[in-house]
Amino acid sequence: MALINADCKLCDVILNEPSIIPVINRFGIILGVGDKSIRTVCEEKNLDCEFFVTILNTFINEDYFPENRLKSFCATQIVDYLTLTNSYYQQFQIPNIERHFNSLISQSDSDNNNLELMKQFFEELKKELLSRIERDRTSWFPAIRAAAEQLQGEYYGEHIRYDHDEPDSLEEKLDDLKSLFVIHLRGEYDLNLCHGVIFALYSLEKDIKQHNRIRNRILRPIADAMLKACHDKE
Amino acid sequence: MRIAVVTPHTLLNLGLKHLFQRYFDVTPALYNRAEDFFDDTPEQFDAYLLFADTVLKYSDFFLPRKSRIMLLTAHGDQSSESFAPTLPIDEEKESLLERLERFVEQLGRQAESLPQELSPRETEVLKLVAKGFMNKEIADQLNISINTVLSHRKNLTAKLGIKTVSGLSFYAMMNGYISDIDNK
Repeated sequence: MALINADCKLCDVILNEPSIIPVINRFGIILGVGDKSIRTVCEEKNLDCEFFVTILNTFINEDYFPENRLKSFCATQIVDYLTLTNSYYQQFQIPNIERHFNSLISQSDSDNNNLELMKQFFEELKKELLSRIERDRTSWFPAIRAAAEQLQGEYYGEHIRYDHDEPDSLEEKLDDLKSLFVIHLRGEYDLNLCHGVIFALYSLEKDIKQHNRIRNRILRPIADAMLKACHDKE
Repeated sequence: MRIAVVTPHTLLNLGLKHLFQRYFDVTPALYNRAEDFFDDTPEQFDAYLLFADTVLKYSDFFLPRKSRIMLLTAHGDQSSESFAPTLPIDEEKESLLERLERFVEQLGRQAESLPQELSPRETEVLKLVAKGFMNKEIADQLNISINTVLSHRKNLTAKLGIKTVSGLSFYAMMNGYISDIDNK
């Protein structure tokens, strides 16, 4: 899809790309958006329009990633957004996958222990995601907020370095779980519920990929630079 | 699949890139100068698109890789057709795509020589990985080198579509290779 801008109607963007509905929810926008432009919606909701548009564009277009523009947003704004995505995983996406998974298991042939094992694999993945969210909430994000407070808008740009993407174990495990479904699933099972689980997994994966790109390529370099600048100051 | 396009014509290169991205989900590497191509680990590619004069000029490199070449031709030149698949750059889009499709299929067949079923050795490696052994321990137990273990693991991932240790463990349990993760 082509890049969107502040003068696009929000409803057109959603109609073309319904996968952004959870993203706009995070900004406090719910369906029934009317036919207002993104700029108007942002003014009404008191949102930073440029940040909102950039997040939507990076979500819609996997190969669009304006690093310099993202780095120009303040770290606490990015932390706020990632906090919202974390709580969305916790409160909605994970329970949603579990709900579908449980009905899939209960409606399928009880001799089929494949699904039980796949559910266990998902539990492992869930544990990993939840503990990362907990570390964000209790240590990493507070450290970034404290550094931002201490620097008070001071320039720390010269410290920003970005090395490379490490393979992410959550993304790899989600990928494996998809392979288990798509390539290796056996036995009798409810087709619709199975589709429900896979669809929910894909949507979590898409979200986590976008979260990780912002986290690893933007927030981590900025946070490292801020912490270093604070350290130098002391 | 990694494809290199080596011609001095920027627009032609960009056009090929567009076709590969749009229809084959592959992004080829573009080189305007053959020298840049040779500076960039030319062995890494699975296929090469270029004009015959480049092939002739660097025949030491290209002749042994003949099966992975597609020759670009111009002005109705048909003389190279017996050498390799050709892509006449002035043809209509539909037949260009047909030729590219056949070429990509041919490359896919060459790559697919890997049998899909696990070999007995791969199965043994899978069981040990699933039980939580490290590569070094697996190498010792099976009396093979670490590199061999790594290559078996690479094949496992390619054949099963599963990369992580826990994914492999669950696959092994689902298929009865091991009964329980914690029985190391």
